[in-house]
Amino acid sequence: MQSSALSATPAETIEPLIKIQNVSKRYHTTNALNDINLDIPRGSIYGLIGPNGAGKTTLMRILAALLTPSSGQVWFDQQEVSTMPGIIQRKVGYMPDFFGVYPDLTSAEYLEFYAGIHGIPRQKRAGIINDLLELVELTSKRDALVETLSRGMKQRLCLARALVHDPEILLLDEPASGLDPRARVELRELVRTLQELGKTIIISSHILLELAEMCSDIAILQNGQLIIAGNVEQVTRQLGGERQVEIRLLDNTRVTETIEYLKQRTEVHAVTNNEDTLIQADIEGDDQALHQVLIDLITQGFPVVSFAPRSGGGRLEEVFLHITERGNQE
Amino acid sequence: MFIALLIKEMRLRMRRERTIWLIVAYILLLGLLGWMYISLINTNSNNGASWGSIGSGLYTILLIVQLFLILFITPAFTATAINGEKERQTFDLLLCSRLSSTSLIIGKLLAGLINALLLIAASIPIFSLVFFFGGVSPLQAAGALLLSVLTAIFIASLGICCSTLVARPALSTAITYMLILLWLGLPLLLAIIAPSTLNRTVTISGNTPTLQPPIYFIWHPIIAILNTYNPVTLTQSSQYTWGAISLSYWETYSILTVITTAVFLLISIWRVKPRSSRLYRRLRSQPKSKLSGSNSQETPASATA
Repeated sequence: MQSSALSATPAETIEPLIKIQNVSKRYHTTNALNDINLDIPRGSIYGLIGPNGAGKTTLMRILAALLTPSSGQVWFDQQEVSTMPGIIQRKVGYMPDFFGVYPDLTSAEYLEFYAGIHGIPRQKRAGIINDLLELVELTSKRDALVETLSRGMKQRLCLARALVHDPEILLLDEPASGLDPRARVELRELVRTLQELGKTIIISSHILLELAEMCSDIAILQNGQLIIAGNVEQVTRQLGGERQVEIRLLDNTRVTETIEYLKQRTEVHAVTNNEDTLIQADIEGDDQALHQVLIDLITQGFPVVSFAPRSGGGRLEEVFLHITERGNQE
Repeated sequence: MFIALLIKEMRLRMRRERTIWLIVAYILLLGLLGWMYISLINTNSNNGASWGSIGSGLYTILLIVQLFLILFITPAFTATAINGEKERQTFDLLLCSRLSSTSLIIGKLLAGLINALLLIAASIPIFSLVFFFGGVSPLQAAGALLLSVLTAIFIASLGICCSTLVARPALSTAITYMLILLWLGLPLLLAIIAPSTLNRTVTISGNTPTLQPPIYFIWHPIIAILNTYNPVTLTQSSQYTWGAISLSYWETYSILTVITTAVFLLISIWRVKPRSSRLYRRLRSQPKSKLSGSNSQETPASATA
């Protein structure tokens, strides 16, 4: 978890930029979304996480006004969306999970077309296109046909397209899928730059780790239900409860004794001993609780060599898998 | 806004080599037919035919061939206009823009038409060959040109309508061609099945009985286009009479074509954006507006930069 991303979240409870209120979407008999309530703060990078088919794309498409919810409302800046026709087209830039390109156009022509249909005056277009190509580092590919671009470049071009009318809100649906690690890093940098430019970014993924490192807020969806939502720290705390700690002992003489001791403590669950001198334990509570367990182990005279909590991202991933598994069983 | 759409369509189109080859092939075909006709007449009857009848014969051939080419080339450009964007996954992006349904449909229509119009324009030099022989007045030629353009617009809007209503491009293209074939062939089929209806005489009050073609030929492009200059075969009567109003075939045809074109375009505009019609939005927003009123009172507008 990056603290820089967290600090961007406003501390005061000001009105959210987007408020999703009791939104449901039904297709015939299936419920794609079920009574979703979400507040998306201004300037946040909001991650929508869930396995495939959880309803992320449906929610994105509702926010992009490509779908109308079966019930419920979406509010932008305290205005109900359906009372303000055209507001979404002006304020939202949408990048779907497919490219949607015209292969026979050049990058610049492609952007010019979208600038045109977004009603940007002709004399302003050239400047905007140059700025955007520079932002996504495609200036050298200005006059290259779109079909000759690599996947990562196409992705960046599509991002530039979504920005052509300088939207306040950016919807990125699975932006990292199919990108190589380097392109992913570049994308992440780009998203951060955009946040610094004052955009509110909603980004979806089925891979939690992709988002955990760049999002300020996350929401986890499962089968059309919102499982949990909020600031990354809050979510981890709420879900978290437990952290896995690896305790390595000096030798195997007191291993069973140590395990017995750990099992007695109420905050410790699931003690396992797979390797000779390595004990894994799930410990409930915050850093203070971990600290206390370590102090007690040492004062009791157990030969602890190392005491290592697993890193945050991995923990969140585990929680995510755990939750979505539970959801599947229900 | 829709100019941007038009420019994009033209760029996409002109960048494909087949557009140029289509024009070249089209002109060559027309030219070849014309040349064959002239050489045929020359060898068959050395002094029998007058220059004027050669001219009008050539004109008839060129006109009918051109009509068929328009009928069958235009759908290739418009029958996948909307669902083609859907298949290329660019349609959502058009919906996310400020492009209105009307601009979208009209832009697509014009883009598809420009090809057909380009073909018509490119064929004008070949048609001017007819004036070399005589037999057709410029006004008659202008009438035929008008009919060609109207037919092209009609076929283009039929193609767009199909591409709006049918999801798959291949299917919508097939349906468009089927409809055109039916439109052309059904009256002929009726004429073959019931030949007696062909010789229907109509007595208009006071006048001598005149021969009127059966009503099912009322909206047929070939009849109409021949009627613009009345070659020998169709001279008996060139009027449909509706009470006090009597219109020539080609006038009736033009009116019917314009009306159906408008209907197709309206259907396309209405259907292209699902549920975006103003009526629908109003119906949906009514129960909500009350709710939103109470909500905005609960949360007084806090200062937002």
